[in-house]
Amino acid sequence: MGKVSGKKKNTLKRDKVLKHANKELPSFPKFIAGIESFSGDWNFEKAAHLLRRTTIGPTLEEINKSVEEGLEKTLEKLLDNSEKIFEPPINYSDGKDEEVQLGETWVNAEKYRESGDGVRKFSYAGWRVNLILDKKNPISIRENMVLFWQNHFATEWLVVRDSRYIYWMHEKFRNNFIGNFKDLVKKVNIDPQMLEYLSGIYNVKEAPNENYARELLELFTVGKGPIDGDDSYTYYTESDIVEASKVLTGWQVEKNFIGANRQYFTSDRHDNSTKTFSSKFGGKSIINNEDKEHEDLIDMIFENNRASEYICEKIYRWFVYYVLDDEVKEKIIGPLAKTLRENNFEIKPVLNQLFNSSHFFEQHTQGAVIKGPIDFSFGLLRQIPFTNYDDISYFHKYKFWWERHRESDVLGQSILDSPNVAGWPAYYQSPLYHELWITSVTLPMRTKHIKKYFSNGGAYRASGENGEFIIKSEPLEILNSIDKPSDIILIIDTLCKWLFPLYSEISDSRKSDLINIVIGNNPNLWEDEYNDYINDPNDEKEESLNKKLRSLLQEICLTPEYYLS
Amino acid sequence: MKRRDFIKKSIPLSTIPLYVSGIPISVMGESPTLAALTNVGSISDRCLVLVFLGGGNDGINTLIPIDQYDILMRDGSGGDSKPLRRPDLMIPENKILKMDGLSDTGLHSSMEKFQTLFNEDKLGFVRNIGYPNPNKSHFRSTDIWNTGSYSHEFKDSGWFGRYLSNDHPSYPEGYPNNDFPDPLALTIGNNSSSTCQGPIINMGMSIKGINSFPEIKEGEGVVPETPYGHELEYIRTASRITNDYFDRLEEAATYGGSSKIEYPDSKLAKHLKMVAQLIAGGLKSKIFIVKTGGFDTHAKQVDAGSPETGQHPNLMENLTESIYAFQQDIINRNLEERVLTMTYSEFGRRVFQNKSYGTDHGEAAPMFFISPFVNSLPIGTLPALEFIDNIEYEYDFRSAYGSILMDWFGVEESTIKSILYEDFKYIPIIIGTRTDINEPHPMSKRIQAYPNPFNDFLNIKIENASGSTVVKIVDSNGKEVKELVNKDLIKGIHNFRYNSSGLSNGLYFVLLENNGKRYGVSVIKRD
Repeated sequence: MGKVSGKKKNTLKRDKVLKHANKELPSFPKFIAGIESFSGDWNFEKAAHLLRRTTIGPTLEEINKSVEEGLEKTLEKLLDNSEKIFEPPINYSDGKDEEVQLGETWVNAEKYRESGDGVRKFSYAGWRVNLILDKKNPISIRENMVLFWQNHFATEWLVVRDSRYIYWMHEKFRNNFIGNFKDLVKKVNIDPQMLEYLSGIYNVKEAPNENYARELLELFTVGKGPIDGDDSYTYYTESDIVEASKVLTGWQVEKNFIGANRQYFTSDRHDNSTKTFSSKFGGKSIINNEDKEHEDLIDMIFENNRASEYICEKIYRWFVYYVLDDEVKEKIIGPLAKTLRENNFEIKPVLNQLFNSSHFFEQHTQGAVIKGPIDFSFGLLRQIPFTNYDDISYFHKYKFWWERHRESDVLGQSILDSPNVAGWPAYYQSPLYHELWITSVTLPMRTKHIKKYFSNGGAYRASGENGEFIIKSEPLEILNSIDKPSDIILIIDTLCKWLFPLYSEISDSRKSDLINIVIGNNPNLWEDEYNDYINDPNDEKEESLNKKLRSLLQEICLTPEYYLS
Repeated sequence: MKRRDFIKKSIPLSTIPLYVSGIPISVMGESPTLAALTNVGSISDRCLVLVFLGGGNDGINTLIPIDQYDILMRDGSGGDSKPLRRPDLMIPENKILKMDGLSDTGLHSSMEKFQTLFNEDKLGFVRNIGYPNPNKSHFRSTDIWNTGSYSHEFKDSGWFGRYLSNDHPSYPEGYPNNDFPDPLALTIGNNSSSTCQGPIINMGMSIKGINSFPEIKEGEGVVPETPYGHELEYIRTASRITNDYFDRLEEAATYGGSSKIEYPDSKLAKHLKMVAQLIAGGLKSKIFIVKTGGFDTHAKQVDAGSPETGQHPNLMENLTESIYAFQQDIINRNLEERVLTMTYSEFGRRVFQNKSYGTDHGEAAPMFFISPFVNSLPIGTLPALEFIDNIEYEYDFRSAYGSILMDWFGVEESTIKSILYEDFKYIPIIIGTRTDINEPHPMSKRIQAYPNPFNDFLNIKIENASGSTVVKIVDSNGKEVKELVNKDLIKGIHNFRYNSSGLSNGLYFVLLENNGKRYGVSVIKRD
């Protein structure tokens, strides 16, 4: 099967724009704050902003805790990269995966017999969804970073069609989520999924294949700059691609091997000549170093400042905003890149610096990001509690998670992979960037997703041991995090502060509309009902309160402001 | 203004020198005079209704090869070593529905309505449609059909999406507008089909029903001059535009009004009914996509011992009844000439039955086309089924798509080759709408005129039903130039030769009036 080599961002037809989306990058009248540490008030708004950007669907409880603990402690938790074990995805379907028992993992099993990888694909996607929806562990930037890396080192499930490969590749991201970037690139060079996806396995000394080398330079390390000469792109040249491909020759993937690290090196297939690079890399030469040579290549690429700047630019676009003008480059990217270099390319200090900066917390930065489909659709489920399903079988859990994956997939973002090697266009396609997530097709879907989630009849059906099991949103639980839950005005205020990025922008008339949804003409309605429930709880009263909250939350989440982070 | 636009807008065409090179001849299909004279209608009014049969439809049980009936009935009981074929799935020979003029092919007994349509010359089919190196995975093969790709390549846009994007390169910027107030493509279902995916954005919309559209909250209020304000403004605007499209759909549905035809009680029928209502209501979408599933008949394709009933027969009954009802509905609403319906499936099924009274994934299968303009002579010949289990493709599905684009939507061959399939080979699925014919197609019926353009002599070939037959030549204003015949002719093929000396250069129409119907082709005389 032919591989989709070099399939990347197609600059040919990219001048079509969504009608009112950017025709050019926007610019704003104020100067931005710099990288110096944030010294303002640490309050709910700031904590909510930080958690919204770094995690997916932060709960009210988590934000309150963060306010209590302060910025430093919150960052400590978010950036905690002490070793953690994650149970791998399992075979949840009896009899469908011959190689693997029910309840056992398939990541170390033989290749799936039938073409298409069937249940394992569902298992992997479902497992990822669950990791994101999980609320039992302390807050962490980890899952968000896995998405960041899988977008940066983008591959496609469809091209290799073996979920084991995807699992092991993404595990590198999970284990190294804010670790050493240089090391990560070296690992990706010889990752089996990547070797298959970008034709590394066909790259031999007699016939070097440039596919990976090109993307390595253009997308993964330094990026393509403006053309500054024949075959030269500011940061590298075409001849550098040729030389780099020679360095990368000799690798293959052992198909019959199981588990991680299926890659292997064959000296005979390797080009052992000396490779000389352009002035962009100081005219440096790399001599034969067999299977370690690809690491020398990365070391060389990382010698000048460009690689550090490039990855910091990507981090900025992911966490802050897509406009990268000269001011941003000077005040923010420069210092971040310096921090990266000074820390031997560890990502953690960079993120720490960014999330501590005045720029990150200024008004200009707040609410600027349009939530991508994963953030939006899973975030909603994570933020607003729903029926506990701990007791249903694995089969039904995985099925439930797989269906959630499909919801973000149809909105344009699949957790399994990227549309092509350039990743999701929202993160690189100028000038629209994340405005691409919002179209005439996706907007109605988002609306339906919200309405379905807050439907009183139940949002989803799963099956438990005792038959069909309806999953509904159960917002009443949220009141545990509100000081005086009998006060409807306080509740609405809190919900708005939590779910909208800029509470101060919500008009008073809007707030009173929201209040009316719950209490109608009776100002004491909520208080009375709530107190009645507390004094003498029963299922009916609980559901009645839940219904009111669902209507309220639906109204809140349907307003365009909810799509912003 | 591009030349092509200029020609589309100017009337009458005969005042423009038509032999200037570079003018796409298919543009002449736009001529309102031709439209009026021949009921062909103008290209801009036409739409395509695409019916997807999800699961892989069993072609052999649909278009039954009467001439190979015995082979298919072999059950190994003859003591010979010939293996079992599909004796449990074949309906009794005398139950196969006959199709006018065909001795080797018939329809499954559940497909009465397709028999009716065929005998009315409104049903065409192409057998053995598929593609090289077929993929038998549902997901992958559907993708291949929808994106119009080779089986080894992965395209991220749909074949119809590329066609729409080619015609509307700035979409969605500037849409909706007065010329195109409607969604360009509409899928009935949860998502806009990948068939309509353009290079950057899906060119269509999807709706599940026409009774309630989700109203997108537009929000209100002043926005600050910050990134937040900028993005919020964008979302609000996108919401407004989406609501505008939905308003338009609602308007069209209301104006169209409910159908007076009785449809079967099925989801497919309901969806087709919606489509008819929307088209009648003035919706100018170029394509409507409906889907119906259940064709993956691995087990119990037919009832044991009773091959006329069961899963597949039920599906075909529903399919044919629904399409027939749809056809009557659009006739009733005076839309018949504007709509072409076609069916497709991601693959066919095996020749051999399996052990569960069913069939497994196969390769090539037939596609059906319904419209008064279809070529009702069969296209494609089934191979000998004696020695094979998979039916290899004879016609590439992309050539079928391309032929529709060419004859129904007036797309030039060079465009088809570039956006769809470089090895495109024309298949005469539609006839009576094309105007650049040099030689008679061996498969077309009714009326052909060649060579075109012509110099002095024009050959005309007709195939008529018995009865009153008129063949005449008129100019672009509809004025009669020459009547070639006007009498009762016996049914069959007749040839005429017209000596046009003395006739000035320009655009003419050759018309056939026969059996209450009228057919026409346009021709050009030049030096």
